[in-house]
Amino acid sequence: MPDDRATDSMASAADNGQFLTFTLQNEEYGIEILKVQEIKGFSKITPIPNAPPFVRGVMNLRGTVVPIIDLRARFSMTEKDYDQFTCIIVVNVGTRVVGLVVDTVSDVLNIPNDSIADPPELASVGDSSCITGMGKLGERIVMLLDTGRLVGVEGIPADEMTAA
Amino acid sequence: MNIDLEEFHAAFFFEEVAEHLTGLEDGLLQLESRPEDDELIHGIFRAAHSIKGTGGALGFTEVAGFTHHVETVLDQMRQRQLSTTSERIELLLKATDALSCLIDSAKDGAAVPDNLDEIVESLRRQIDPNAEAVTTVVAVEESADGLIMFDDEPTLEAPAVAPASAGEAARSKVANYNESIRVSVAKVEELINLVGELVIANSMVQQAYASDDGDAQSLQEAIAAMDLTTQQLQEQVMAVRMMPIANVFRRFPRIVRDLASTLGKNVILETSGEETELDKQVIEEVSDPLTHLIRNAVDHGLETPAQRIAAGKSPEGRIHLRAFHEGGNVVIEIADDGAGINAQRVRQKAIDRGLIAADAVMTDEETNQLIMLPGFSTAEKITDVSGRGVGMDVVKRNVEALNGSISIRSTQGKGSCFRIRLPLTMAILDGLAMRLGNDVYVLPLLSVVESLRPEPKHIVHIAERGELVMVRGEPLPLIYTHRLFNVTGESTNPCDGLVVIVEHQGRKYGIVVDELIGQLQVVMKSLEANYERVDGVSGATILGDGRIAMIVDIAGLVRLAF
Repeated sequence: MPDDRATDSMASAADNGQFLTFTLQNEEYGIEILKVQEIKGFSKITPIPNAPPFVRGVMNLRGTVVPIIDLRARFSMTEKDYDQFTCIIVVNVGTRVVGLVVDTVSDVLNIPNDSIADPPELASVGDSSCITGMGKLGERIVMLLDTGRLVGVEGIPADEMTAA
Repeated sequence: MNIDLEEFHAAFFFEEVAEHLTGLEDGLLQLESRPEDDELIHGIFRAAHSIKGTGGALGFTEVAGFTHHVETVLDQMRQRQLSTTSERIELLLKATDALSCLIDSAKDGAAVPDNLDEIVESLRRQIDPNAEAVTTVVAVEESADGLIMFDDEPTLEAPAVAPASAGEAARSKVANYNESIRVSVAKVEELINLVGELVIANSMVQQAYASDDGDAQSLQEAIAAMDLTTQQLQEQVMAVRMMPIANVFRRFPRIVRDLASTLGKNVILETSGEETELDKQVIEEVSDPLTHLIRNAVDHGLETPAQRIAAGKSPEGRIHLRAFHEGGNVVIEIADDGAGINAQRVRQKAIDRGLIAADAVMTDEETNQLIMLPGFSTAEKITDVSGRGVGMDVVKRNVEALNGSISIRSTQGKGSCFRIRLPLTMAILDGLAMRLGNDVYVLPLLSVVESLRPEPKHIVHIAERGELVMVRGEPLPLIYTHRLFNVTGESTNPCDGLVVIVEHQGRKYGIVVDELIGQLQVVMKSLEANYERVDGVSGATILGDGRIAMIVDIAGLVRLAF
């Protein structure tokens, strides 16, 4: 019954969001999969003069100069040495390409819209304005992040980044 | 391959017509001073005729119809049935502006100028002064080359809102026309040759590597050959982007002429070195600052004829615009023989504004540079001409954004000379790589004078003001880049590392580095594309090992440091 399956998946695409999940300090976060360009292992980063501490520097991604944001530092968490699990998630925000450093990349999840709750009033992280919602899948709780606001570094208005 | 023939033709038309339009305008401007020059007026006529011809053939009936009237007047002038008066030239120039707008409207639907009918009317009256104000039935039957045959009235609809100044809009448009580059066949052939050589060099390397008896010697030779070809190829590819600066200079006769007549001054604009080639991007970016400097020269630099005669000068002011190569740079000079900068007044103003201390000791050159500080204006009254919101500080910033520099020489009573120094291209930079802590930075080689390791006795500490290094008796301020950049460096003591002496706007500075790596050519990559502008850094580049290095912007570094 190929037709049924086709309608099934169409329905799920409409009601579900697909998210790439990753961990930071044993907590699980997710970003919209459509914003993700690729996932890279950690590689050499060149610091940018006078950048905010969470902007670790720039990386060479096949000839493109990509700024790298450390999400632990971005959320004022305790810092952790980079190891073999450390990943850089390269995301597209508007016309910009930005890399996000995370502890590990875990999964691609389908989260139905009705399983997403509003963001909590009190978040365990320093900056809760980037959280757009809480995805609940059984016991798992995934904090969903807005990439635009996440990379809205100084000088770039956050709404311009999300609008683009 | 599927080319939309119509679109292709249209694109061709716009490119060609832009050229003829410039020819038309240029010719008319020259005609003012040489009204008897037959060759000139023939050239102008031909330009108008070509616009009409191609326009008609490709179905741009409004353009062709309008040009027809211009052509008729020119034809009469050519046959000496109409004399060449300055009013007539003025009218034709106005018509040229309107024509340019009309072409834009055909190109991208821009607003049609609302004074078209008025101009057509004036043009008709030139031929037949008694012509009644006929509400035009434009019937073009004349068909010199069998191209145009249309009887119907060109639809010239005046839009509700027309551009405030048709001329202004037209001029800025013409400058932005160049979305494509015309490359001579010779340049392309040269490129093909070089690519061919590169392919051969590549196979030579492979052979040398693969052959059993391959020794290091032949491999080395093959690599050297490939190196050379790559470099030549790079130069040739960059040459494709090079355009003569005439593309910018061409705009100025008109600007000077209009401005001079508004201000009631007599101005002669002389240009030289129009053939000097510059990167297309640099040309586009430098055109606004240059326009500003030219306007400045006419407005503030030159005196009124009465003042000039009183000062014992000829009533006509002269502005000399010239471009030339100088040591890997292009220099553009705007010199006027006007009143010059009143250094005393500039100094007083700077003291009043608290920009410098009352007892500051400054050379004339340094005093002149003050006029480029933000918020500085010595103009006693703000005129329509100079009150346009673009100050000298913006000019300076624009030039510095191009990795260039600007300097001023001025003699009171004799005139001023603004000198803009620009790199040939922005894409590739000769650099000097240096290490600072764990990271590599690139200094633009053009600014580097020398490097040395000072002895402790040559370092002078000035309480709370920084440090100086004495180089052959000359005290130079030391810049600790790692402190300014907030990165870790090893050489907190310049006597352990090295000091690179750089020059910026005639002043020298010593930059403390850990180690010099060497000279290299780097391809500039923008940091702004994915991040934001960073002070003290003009961009980034990718090194041979794939790492990224920041390119230091000396002007920005000096701003950070002082």
